[in-house]
Amino acid sequence: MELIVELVNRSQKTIERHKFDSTRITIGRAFDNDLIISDQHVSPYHAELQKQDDGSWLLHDLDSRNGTYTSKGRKIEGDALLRSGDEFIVGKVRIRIYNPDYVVKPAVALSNIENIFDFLSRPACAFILILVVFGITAGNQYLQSFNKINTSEMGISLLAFFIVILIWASIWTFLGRLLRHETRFITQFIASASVFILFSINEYISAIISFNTLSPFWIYTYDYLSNGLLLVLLFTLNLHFAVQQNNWRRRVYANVFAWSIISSMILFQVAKDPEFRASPVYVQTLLPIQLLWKEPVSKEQFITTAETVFDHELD
Amino acid sequence: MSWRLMRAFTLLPAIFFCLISTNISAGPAQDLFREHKKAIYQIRVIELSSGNKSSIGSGFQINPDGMIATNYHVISDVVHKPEKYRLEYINHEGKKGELSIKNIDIVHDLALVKHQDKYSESIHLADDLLNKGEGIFSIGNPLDLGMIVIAGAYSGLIENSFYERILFSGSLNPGMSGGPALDITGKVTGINVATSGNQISFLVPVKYLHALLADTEQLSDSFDFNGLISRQLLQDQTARFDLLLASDWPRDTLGKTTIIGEIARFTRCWGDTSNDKDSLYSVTWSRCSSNDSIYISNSFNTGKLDYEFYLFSTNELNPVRFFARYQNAFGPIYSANKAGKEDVTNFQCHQDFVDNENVPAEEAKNKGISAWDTLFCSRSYNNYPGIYDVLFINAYLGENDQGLITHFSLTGVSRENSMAFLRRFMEHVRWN
Repeated sequence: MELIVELVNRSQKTIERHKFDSTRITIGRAFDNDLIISDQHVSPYHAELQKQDDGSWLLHDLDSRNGTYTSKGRKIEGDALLRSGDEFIVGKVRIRIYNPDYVVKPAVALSNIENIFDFLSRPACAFILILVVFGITAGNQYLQSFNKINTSEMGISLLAFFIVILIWASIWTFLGRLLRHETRFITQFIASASVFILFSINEYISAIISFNTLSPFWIYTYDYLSNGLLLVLLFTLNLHFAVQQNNWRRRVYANVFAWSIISSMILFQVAKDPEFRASPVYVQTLLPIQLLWKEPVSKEQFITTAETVFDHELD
Repeated sequence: MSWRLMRAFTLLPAIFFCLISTNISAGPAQDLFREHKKAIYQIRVIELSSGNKSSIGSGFQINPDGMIATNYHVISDVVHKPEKYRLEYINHEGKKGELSIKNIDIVHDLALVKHQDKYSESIHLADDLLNKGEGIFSIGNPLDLGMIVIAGAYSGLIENSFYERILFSGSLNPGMSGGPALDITGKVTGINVATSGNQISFLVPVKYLHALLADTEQLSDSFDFNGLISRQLLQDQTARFDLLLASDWPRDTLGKTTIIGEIARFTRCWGDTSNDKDSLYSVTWSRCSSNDSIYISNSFNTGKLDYEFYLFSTNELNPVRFFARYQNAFGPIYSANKAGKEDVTNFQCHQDFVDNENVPAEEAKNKGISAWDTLFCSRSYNNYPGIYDVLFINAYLGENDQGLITHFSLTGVSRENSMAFLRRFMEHVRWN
């Protein structure tokens, strides 16, 4: 029966796969081996695999310089019996063997995320999207300013925003290159920029909520929650294109990253919260009355309720 | 604007002014000084652990029993932290001795202290105020340089203050606080208290010292300072707010709005309009405040009051951009006085949207919706129960190119007076 041999890198990605139809397979750096491995820590004639009658394989170390190890790092002295799916290490290379009847995992459905971002990453789409990102950022800055627009200042802050996304996307692209042997810079850039846009749109939503609730507590709660969720989205996308892992694992990673950032921000806020404030804490957001859904109270009602601010004993 | 005379030792150039003015009218001044120098003391606050003086002032003996009058702010450290400071005097011969506090009047910044030694020389207190232009001779020890006399003129009582203060056209300097200001006959007509620099100084009229002296006879020997200060502050704010709330508040207009003018002679308003050509909006404001302030400690004062109106308008900004600017002016807000963690609690607030009821229902319909985003806060005095600082700010919402922000800050006020002022203020200000 045939034997399938896989060379696996440290992040469990298969880099080579060979099929052998013999009862003895030699492994080493010399070119007359069956399985030639170019790792400098592998001896010219390092080990061999010998088929047994019951279908299992006997691994035999050929007195190699650096030895042969099980996947758990235990040195193999002399022989070891391997079955389909087992793994061993020569030099720095992991080798996994399978019988042809090994049942492989079911196909992973093409995810929507992949489809969407494959589409968005086409040059034309990407170009348009980058223009949109610029447009929204510039528009945002225009609306936040109340003095005459200073074009060079605006240009500088746009450039700064662009560079931040560029660096962020580059880091993830680099990680992807390292862990997945794939370079998807445009996709990372598009994904990151889209989430950054959501962050700035969320600021407007937050302002409307704070204006209508007038509660500093709910504003903090909303801001931390919504920005936490957007961070989860950002990390999920970045991880998706940079690391090969299943959905469940990716979700855990993204959530851990995002909420550790949010909780350290909360901790920082609590730690620097002064014991005494010379100025009161209240909602300073003012928006046009059309955005107010809360029913105003009468003057009389306000004055009656306002008197409760003298009940300092309740502190 | 006036500052206390005791601490800042930074005004060295001012010394020369004093010397010049002393020389001009040396005759009667020297006679008065010679006659009364035995009754004048330097008062020192001594920090216990270092044994050094932490601040100095002046004082004068007013009866043969050793009672000395000075300013409250000269001795306030000892009132608040008797475990950290003590009082000491130095007389004209350079002899030192202990002093104990007998009574204080925090509102008029007076204090009575007493020594147990045998010096019986004292100065008589005058009964009446002088006429404008009459000479006044102020004695004290500026900047620890030695006792001097400063001659000047009685210039009447200051007009824009709730409290009576004598305006004295002479240069008082730090360290002269608590010293006597004598008339030509050698009687005390006022007590040195503060200066605005350049020959404008202030004296406490002697009648308050008469009152304090009378009050001291009623006082038991062991009184508690916090209780006394609370009573005096409460009494003072009652008098002040009775006057403020009794008067008819004058209506001023600012654009489409009705605002409040000068409520009493001691609240003065100033106004202006921003006129930056490059600006895309304009702000017109009216700021009113009282100059009065009651000194409680170096880090804590009270009795101040201010109210302000800011009208924003634009022809060029769209609503989103206009509100970005408008919102910028909606805080943070601060109290008119100075206070720290040991003195007051944090602010406690109530914020809500309030109907613009001042506009008749018919008109309101035509105008569409409008409301005021309104905030009211108070903080309580830690050592003086029943006394608060309150803050108010509101912003008119109803138009997308105009808005009015109004604000007031009352300090050292009771709950009842705060609420009465709030109601009056909210009824008065309107968007027409």
